[in-house]
Amino acid sequence: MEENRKFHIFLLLFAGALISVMLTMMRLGGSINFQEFMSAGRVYDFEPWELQRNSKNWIYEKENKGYRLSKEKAQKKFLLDGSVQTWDFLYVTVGELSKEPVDGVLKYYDGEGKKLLEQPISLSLGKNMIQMDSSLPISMIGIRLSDVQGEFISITRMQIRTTPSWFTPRHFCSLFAVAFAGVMAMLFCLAFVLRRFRGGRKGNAVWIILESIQSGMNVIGDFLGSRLGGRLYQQQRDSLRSFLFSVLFVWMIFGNAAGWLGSAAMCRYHTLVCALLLLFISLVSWEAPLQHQFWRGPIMKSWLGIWLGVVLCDLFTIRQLESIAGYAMLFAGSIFLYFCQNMERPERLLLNMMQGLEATFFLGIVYCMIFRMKKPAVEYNGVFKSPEELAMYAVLMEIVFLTRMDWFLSGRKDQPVGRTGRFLFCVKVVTGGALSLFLVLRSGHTVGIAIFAVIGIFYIPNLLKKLYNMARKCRILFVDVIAAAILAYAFTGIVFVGIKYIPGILGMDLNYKNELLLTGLMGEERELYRLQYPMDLYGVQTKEAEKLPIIWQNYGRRLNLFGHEGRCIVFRRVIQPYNGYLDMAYRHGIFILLPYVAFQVMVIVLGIRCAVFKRGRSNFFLLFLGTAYLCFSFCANVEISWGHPLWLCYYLSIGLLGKIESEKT
Amino acid sequence: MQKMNRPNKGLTFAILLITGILISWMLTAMQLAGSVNWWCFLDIGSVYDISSGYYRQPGIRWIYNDEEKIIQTEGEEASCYYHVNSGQKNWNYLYLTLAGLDRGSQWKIEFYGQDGEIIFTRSLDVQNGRNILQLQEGEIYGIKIIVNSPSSFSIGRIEFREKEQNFSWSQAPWMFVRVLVYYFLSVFILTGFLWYYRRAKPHISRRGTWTLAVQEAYARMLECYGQLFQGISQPAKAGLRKLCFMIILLTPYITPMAWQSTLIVVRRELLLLAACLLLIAFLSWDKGRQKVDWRNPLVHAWFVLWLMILVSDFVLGRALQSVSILMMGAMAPLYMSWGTMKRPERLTRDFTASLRYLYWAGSVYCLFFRPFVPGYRYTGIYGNSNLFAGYLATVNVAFLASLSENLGREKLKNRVLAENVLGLVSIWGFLKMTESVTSLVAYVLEWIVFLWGQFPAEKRRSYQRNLKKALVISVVCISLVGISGKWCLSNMPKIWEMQFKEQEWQPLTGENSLSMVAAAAGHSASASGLSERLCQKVTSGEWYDLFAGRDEIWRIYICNWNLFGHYGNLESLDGKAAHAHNALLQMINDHGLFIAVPFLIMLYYSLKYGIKAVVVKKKFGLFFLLAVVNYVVQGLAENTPYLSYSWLVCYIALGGLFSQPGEAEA
Repeated sequence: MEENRKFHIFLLLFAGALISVMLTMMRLGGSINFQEFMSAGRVYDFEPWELQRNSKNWIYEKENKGYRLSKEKAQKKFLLDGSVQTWDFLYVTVGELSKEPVDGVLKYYDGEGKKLLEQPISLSLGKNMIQMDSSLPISMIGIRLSDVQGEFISITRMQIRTTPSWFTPRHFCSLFAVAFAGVMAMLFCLAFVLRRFRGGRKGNAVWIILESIQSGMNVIGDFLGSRLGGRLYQQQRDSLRSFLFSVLFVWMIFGNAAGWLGSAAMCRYHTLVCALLLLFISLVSWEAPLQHQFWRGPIMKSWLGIWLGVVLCDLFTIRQLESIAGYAMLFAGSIFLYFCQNMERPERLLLNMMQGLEATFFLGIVYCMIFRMKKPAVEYNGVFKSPEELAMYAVLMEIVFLTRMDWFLSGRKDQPVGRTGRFLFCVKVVTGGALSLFLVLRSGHTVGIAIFAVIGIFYIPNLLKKLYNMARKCRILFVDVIAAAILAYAFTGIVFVGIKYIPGILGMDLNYKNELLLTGLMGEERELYRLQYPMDLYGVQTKEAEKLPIIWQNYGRRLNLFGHEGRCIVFRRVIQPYNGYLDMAYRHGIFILLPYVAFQVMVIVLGIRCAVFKRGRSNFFLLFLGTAYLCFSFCANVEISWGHPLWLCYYLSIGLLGKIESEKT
Repeated sequence: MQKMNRPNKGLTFAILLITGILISWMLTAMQLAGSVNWWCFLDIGSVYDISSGYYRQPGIRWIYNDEEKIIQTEGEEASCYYHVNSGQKNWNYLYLTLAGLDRGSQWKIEFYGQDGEIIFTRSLDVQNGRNILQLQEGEIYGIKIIVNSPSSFSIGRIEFREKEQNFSWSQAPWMFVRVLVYYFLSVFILTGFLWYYRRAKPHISRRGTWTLAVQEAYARMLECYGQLFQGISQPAKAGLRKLCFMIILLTPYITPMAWQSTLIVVRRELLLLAACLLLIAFLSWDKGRQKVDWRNPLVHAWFVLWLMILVSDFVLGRALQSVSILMMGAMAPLYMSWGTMKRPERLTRDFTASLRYLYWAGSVYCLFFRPFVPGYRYTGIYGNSNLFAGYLATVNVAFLASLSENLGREKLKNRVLAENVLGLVSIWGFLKMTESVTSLVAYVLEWIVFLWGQFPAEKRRSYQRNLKKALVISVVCISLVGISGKWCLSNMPKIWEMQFKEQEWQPLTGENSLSMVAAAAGHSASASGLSERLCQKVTSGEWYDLFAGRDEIWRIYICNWNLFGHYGNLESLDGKAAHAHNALLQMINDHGLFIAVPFLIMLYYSLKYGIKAVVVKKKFGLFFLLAVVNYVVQGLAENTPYLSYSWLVCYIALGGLFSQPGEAEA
């Protein structure tokens, strides 16, 4: 109950913050608009490389981050969003200017490159707003500065739009503060009135809903479960579950690689198969008649909140892909959690899940060695479509292998027995860990590498301590681990060489459709490399961290109440948000963040409880999984619904938490 | 219990037979088309038929002889122009089927573009039977057939095709029979194998256990929520139920008028309906539960039907707008709750009362705001006279059921009797003005069923007394409706200066419901009034006249049968998407060919249990039977789409037939 109270206070504060953000954005947009709080109209942000590209008289100096103007009248053209449209405002943020102010003209060009108009402008340091002629449909603009030979100008940001922009961080914060104070006062009054009105009846309606859902699941679950799981021995259940998890992960990775997640026609079939597999795993896990579980805790409320929120958005927005994951998770995921919570030892299911992941991982490594070549100067994607996804996978596998080792060294049940069995287990786990490290380094994803390192730093000393304690009793184990480490080094070397040459030798290198290829080479390095190997960097994009704030702003200004279909178009192409929170808020409305953030917080909190306060049964899996997911949520596209093992493991792992929670109450 | 576990051989055979027929059709169509296409079994490319209604239009020296049903041309260069109204404009072949041509001759056919310009001209040596003409590239908006010499003939069909037809329809029956024989042989062999392997094992019947599980799940849900409403008094519950029923009945009527039927609106509408249905279910949940037994073919067919629809909706990408979610998530709990009521007739009474109240509200609205214009078929509260007629026939069910219940009462208030009789008389008055034949047939059948249902009660004294009273009141009502009602309809809206909106479609009196074609062709309606129209239909001797063009729509729908259904309605007459004008064809179009199996089984058992309800004198038993009869008859030739009145009334009435204790299980 105490936990619930804290949770509700957190929800109240967070809801207040979200409402305040909504009100502030509407205030900035100048209208009450639930379809798009900011009412920003059309906005096009110029890509950073466009502001660094040379023209005849604008020479970009990389070291000074600005242009040296080489002619009296220096001109540079900028392509707009790819269509011929009218625009009202141009914002040019000048970071540095050797001569202030500088005069010039703004030129308007139509779709055929024909000049339509010249408008005198003047630029000074800071943000310059230029009101444009909104009657002319244009596709390109040009800025010609006068009397600027030898002068220096640094343009840090350029934006063209149809409505004025009133957003500044300071303005936003001041408005937010006022709104937050007002909203919180109102919410507290409301909460007080409701408390008085409802008296002692707390959460009656929610209780009944959850009770009835569970009753339904009991009946159908017992009916089907007794015919599947009820007829199997424990070992059979374990084997079947591990196998089914492997199939599920392989199917998810395959679907992601095949591009089914982005196809309206295929996505629902892909998700259906995933949901059916998950249901099958649930039914196989049936051990005894199902009992009602405690679902009134914060974690289950958040879980149901997320997926119900995703589904209910369909009542307000027409979407092809966004809600399918919600339907599948709400239905199959909830049943899975319920069955998991009804198990006598839910950690068996976690073990089977990890076994499934291990099998998939080594299968994936073999696949990579045959079909996925590491190209020089290009970050490695492994079995996935982007280095980011590979990094997330490597981090997940690191957690899996470390947990497996932890459980082994802690002498838990269900661990391998016998000399050979233990040695092989050590080889598998240590090699798996080493390969995970290799993959995350190959992905070149900075955040992934950092998370990997942090988890390793926190986990490995603990493991070494346990190993030392255990090796004192059983010295052969120490020898096994050392031998496994040597073998792991050798295997990693083989994989290193393998992915570089084998696909090429076999002629079986496979490229996915719409694969994201990234290189760390920039500017002159890239040009030099391209001169040397003209075809190698074809279709390869440069990693540019400076794009991220612009992408986030683009997503941020489109936030609304019930979500959008598809993704934002930034820099003339569809771009993912590179942020889990923005992703969820953009697709399902801003208030989905309420359960989403609550869920993340609760996973961490309960993960800590699971790791620290369970003497002899401590389990770091949930804590590290939650932490990794949280970190990726800030700067990666982590919400790959039914397409990435990290996503599925994260949401399903709370089955174990639920059991703990119900035990407590 | 022994009876319960005995397999219903008749039902098994019926399922096998219907499935066999459908599979045979599917394979025959694929064989004829020469391709395996699950999205259209008869994959013969796009086809557009110029509606046969147009063949009667006159041209230059081109006369349609209505008596002999032939076209007669006089002099040289007799011609007739036909619009090509299909969405697709590029065609590769023109198939011209002729009959009764006195001699072979050469015709000229001109093909017209968008602006009425001739794109190309072709000559064709025509003879009786099918004449094929290969076309040039170009978008065709019309054709003109020019006959050089005087002749007489009749046009069987003018059709544009994308692909050439490589088969003859005469092959189809033999192929169909062959496939059907193979099917039954394989079923026979399979049954033999099953029998052989099962013979040694003791057979433990598990029939219907899943039904019990589903029942239990619904029961638990209802128990959870039902307890919230236990404190409400019975009159308040009845009031709330009526309110919810009225919302359910009004929503599908108001929503398309107030908002466009966009996907979002449909989803919200379904959500509202689900909420109302669930509220009624919770209100009706009786704590002292009656035994409910859903182990009967009707329930099984119902669940299989909606599960198949769910699968079809999934394949076609319908999400929350899937009606199957509403049915299994909200309608089934209502059925369950209804079955557990100690006095289930209360719910039926509330429902029929809601229907009647809404009818009265609608009648007042018509009297004051919807004028009757002489020479036009009356459209009432709708913009279409057939829809209004369907509504009237459905409401008639409620009045008849109510009258049937009231006539047997010892103490019957005159007010109640007068309300019923006035309702019935006014419905007839309105129905006559709509001139809708299908609804008239449904109406007549409803009366026949009603009269049949009255026989067991005829000897009771109170019944005789009430009947006499009803007859006297009906005489008064007829004069009231006939004089003052008609005067009000003709004059009151004029006094208010109310007029029909322009976009509303009002067919002329005597005109077919789908006779836009005939109207466009200048075919004047000779008959006026319902009886004349009916006579003309029956005596015309042509399918087109009898079915008012529906036969053409049905043919298009049958040719497009597939495995999982189509997302929307098919392009039919005049190139516009139209309903199938048949419930079965519409279901097959929406959800695939095999939906026919549970749908037909469900309808059969609905009728069977409806008759049983009347025979065993179940309270409001007549209502269940009438609701199903109304749906079936209207479904033969009219639109009975989801959430229409006849559909809603039928599917709600099914709830009263769901629980059949002791019914054989199959």
